[in-house]
Amino acid sequence: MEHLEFDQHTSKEYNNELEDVRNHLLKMGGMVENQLRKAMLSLKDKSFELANDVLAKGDVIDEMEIKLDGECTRIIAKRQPAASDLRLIIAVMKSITDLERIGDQAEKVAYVAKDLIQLDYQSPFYVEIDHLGQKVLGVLSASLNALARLDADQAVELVEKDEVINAHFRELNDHIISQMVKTPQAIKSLLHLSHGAKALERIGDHAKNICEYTIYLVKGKDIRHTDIQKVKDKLFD
Amino acid sequence: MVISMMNERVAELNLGIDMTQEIKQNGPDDSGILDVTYSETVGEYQCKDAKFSTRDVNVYYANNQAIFDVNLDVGRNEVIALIGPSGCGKSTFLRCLNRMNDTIDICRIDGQIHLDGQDIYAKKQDPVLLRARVGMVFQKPNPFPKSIYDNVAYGPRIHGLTKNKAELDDLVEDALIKAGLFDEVKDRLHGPGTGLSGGQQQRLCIARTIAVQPEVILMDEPASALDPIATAKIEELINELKENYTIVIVTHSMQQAARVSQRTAYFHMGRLIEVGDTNQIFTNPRHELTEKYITGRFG
Amino acid sequence: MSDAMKNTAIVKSGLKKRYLKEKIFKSAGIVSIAIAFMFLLVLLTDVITKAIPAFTQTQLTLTVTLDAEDLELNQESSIEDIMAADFRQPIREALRARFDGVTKRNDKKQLYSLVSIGAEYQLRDLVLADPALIGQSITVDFIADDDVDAVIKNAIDRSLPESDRRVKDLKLSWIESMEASGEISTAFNWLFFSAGDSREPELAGIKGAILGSFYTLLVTLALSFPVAVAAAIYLEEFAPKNRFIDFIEININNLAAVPSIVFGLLGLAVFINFFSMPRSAPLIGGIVLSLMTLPTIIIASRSAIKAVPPSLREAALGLGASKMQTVFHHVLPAALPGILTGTIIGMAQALGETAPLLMIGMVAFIVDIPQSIGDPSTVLPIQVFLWADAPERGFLEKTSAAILVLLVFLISMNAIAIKLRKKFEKKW
Repeated sequence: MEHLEFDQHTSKEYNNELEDVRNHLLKMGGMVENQLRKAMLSLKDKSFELANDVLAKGDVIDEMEIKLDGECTRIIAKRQPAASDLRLIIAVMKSITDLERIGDQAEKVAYVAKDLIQLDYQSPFYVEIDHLGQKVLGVLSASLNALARLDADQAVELVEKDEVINAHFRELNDHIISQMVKTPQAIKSLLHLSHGAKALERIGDHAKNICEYTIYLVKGKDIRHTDIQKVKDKLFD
Repeated sequence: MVISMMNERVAELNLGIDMTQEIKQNGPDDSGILDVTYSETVGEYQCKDAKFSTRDVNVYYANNQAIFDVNLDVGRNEVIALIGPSGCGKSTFLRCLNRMNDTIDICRIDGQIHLDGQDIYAKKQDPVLLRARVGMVFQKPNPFPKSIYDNVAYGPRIHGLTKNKAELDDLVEDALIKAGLFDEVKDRLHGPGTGLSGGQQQRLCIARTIAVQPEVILMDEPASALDPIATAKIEELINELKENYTIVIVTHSMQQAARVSQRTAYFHMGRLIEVGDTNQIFTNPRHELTEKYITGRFG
Repeated sequence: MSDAMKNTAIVKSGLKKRYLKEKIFKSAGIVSIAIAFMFLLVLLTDVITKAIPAFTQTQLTLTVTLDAEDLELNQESSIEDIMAADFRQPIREALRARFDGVTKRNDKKQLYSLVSIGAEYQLRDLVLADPALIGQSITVDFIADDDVDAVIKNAIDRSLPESDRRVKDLKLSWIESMEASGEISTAFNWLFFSAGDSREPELAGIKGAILGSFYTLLVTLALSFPVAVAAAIYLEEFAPKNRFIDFIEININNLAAVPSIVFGLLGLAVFINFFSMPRSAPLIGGIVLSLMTLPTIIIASRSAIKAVPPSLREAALGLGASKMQTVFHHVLPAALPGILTGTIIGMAQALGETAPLLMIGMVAFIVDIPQSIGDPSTVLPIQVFLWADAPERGFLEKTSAAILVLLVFLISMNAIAIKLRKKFEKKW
């Protein structure tokens, strides 16, 4: 069972419902991605307006989560989905939780940006955190693409990339801590920076989750908490 | 956008299968699905402790082949569901298991069907004895036009299972209790069996079957003529019966198969396409046809 | 105009025509039923009105003196003596006493013929029943001759000129005299149901024919029912599907279409000429009729067995019943109403059958009432045929009465068929 088609049901209505759910999920993914991009930009450009914009849009994402959850519940009640349809619904329901969390983390980054602007903190760390942010943004974007294309191969690659992000975060955090030791007067700002970096690392974890759901959706196997090499051997020849 | 990418993948996949053994389905082409190529049964069809074991079973009605090379084991005390679209041969296969097809003159059966290691189509195997060991419940409740008591007592009477009236009474009561019908009918045991509701009639038929104390119960769409509540009662009954009996159930309701069975076998155009653990079949079927069927993609 | 409205208009325009067709068909049906009903009504009225006089009998009240010496009898006479005595004389004397001055030989003969020749047996039976009557004078209602009967029932027009009238003036004056003095009465004709056939219309009864029909049908039923049901069961449930069985099936259907007289010829050739069985007996009649009834019952039974739902057979087979048990425990009881209906229809057919019985001699004139299936007898339809053929005026009403009796039997058999059907059709 490699290829999935969600538009071949005898019931056209069912096709439409599944298609809607998928479209809404991808739309929500796009919105979340945009939030993160804007939050990073507000941090980099020290833009108060952009940060506020991100915070204002948070509610929209929450609403989308509730709406999608409702759609999925209705499909389960009405259609009793099985096999790939069931996996799609499960993957969507789980993914939106992660997307909503990513949205929250993006807001956190926006708060950090606002706090740092208020503290008028100047530092080369902005560039470093932006590096991490771009990396996370790339992974998130790729994860959403993998989900959209039901591309399990790409998803498994992305799961591996999470380690790279984690390593990058740890490295950045070490730098921040050593900077704290050096400049205790800037600890407040550095703590904010560290929080921002942590939020980015969390977003990476959520993106990884989405990739795992993608693999579950396509391959029908739950690979969470499993050694990635084993997964690759088993599912990807 | 997504769809087109997936279609490319389908093409690749089909190419892969084309290189393996390819059997074109013959017969009426009504939905386009028949062009799908087919190789061997997907999944583990063997069981360690098989009650029934069928190998290379082919069934023909005159010149039409209804079943093609079916290999399937039925484990002891398991509920196995046979699912598939109409005319896929699942009922025909079921009826081979207690030789009900013997009554059809033009029906011919090839291959081996073993019950506890013995060939049920062997010359010395008596179909009457076989049917006492392998009971059957039919799609439409078909109680005899007799009293409830006589319906249940009929099997034990013809087989001479009881020595006296008291024993027979006990046996009838026991069977009715097991079928979950006793409390509903205890005041009118000598009333007509055909006066019961559809669901009660079907449970009466099940009671009648278990009164013969069979080892296996075959059920041919036992709940298809019943309302959801009666259906739920039958399913609950199947759940209780699996402690003591091996049950093979043919059903059109996939949800029913999912609810009552431990293993599920998917038939298509007379072939056993896929067999496996019910949980696996309903969350992650391996064969494309199974996937299509259980997600409702067949016309 | 939208499509939906256009369609409504089209449908509307055609409606009238459709309803008209329906009306025409309905009225055609009603007319057909009316015609059929009218014919039935005409037939029944004709038969019934003609038959009614047959159920009453004209009687002449005469006082006879049973003189012991004239009869050569006394109180101790044996039955044989009584049987041998001449009871004609006392009746003749009574008639002469009633009408004095009849001296001419021819007139005397006319006078004596006022009473039936059965009157002397009537008197004899009275004496047999009570020998104490010997030596007494008794008043008896004697059966009148059929001519008297005809006059009383106005079957002979009294106003016709003497030359055109069967009953001459002299005799008519006697009848009118007795009528005037209340010596002529009518009573219910018990004799019609208790006597056998006779040359004299006033003495002829139908009991012999009824019993003959009964014995014949008994033989028919006993032979054809088990054989036909067994054949039907075998053909439906057990027979292999091959050409031989097909051949048999076709021939059973052909047998149902064979003219009944052929069966009569067969009976004559095989049973009477070859096996030397008794002629005119219900036994032969029954055998011949059962040959005729067999295919009817087989065909009816087969369709009844075929109509038993296969789910019933499956239920029994699925429990491990053998083929035989399935058939006898379940299929046969379920098919029984249909089988019984077919049987009774076949029996009713046999009851009304005439032609084959003519061939085996059941058309003979038989006075005695049959006591068993071996006795010579006749049957109802043949009795009708015989009486219809008889020249006496009195047999006309008897013919209609016999037809009526036959119809009553047929209707009651059909009623039994319906009743049985209802009884066995009870769903459980």
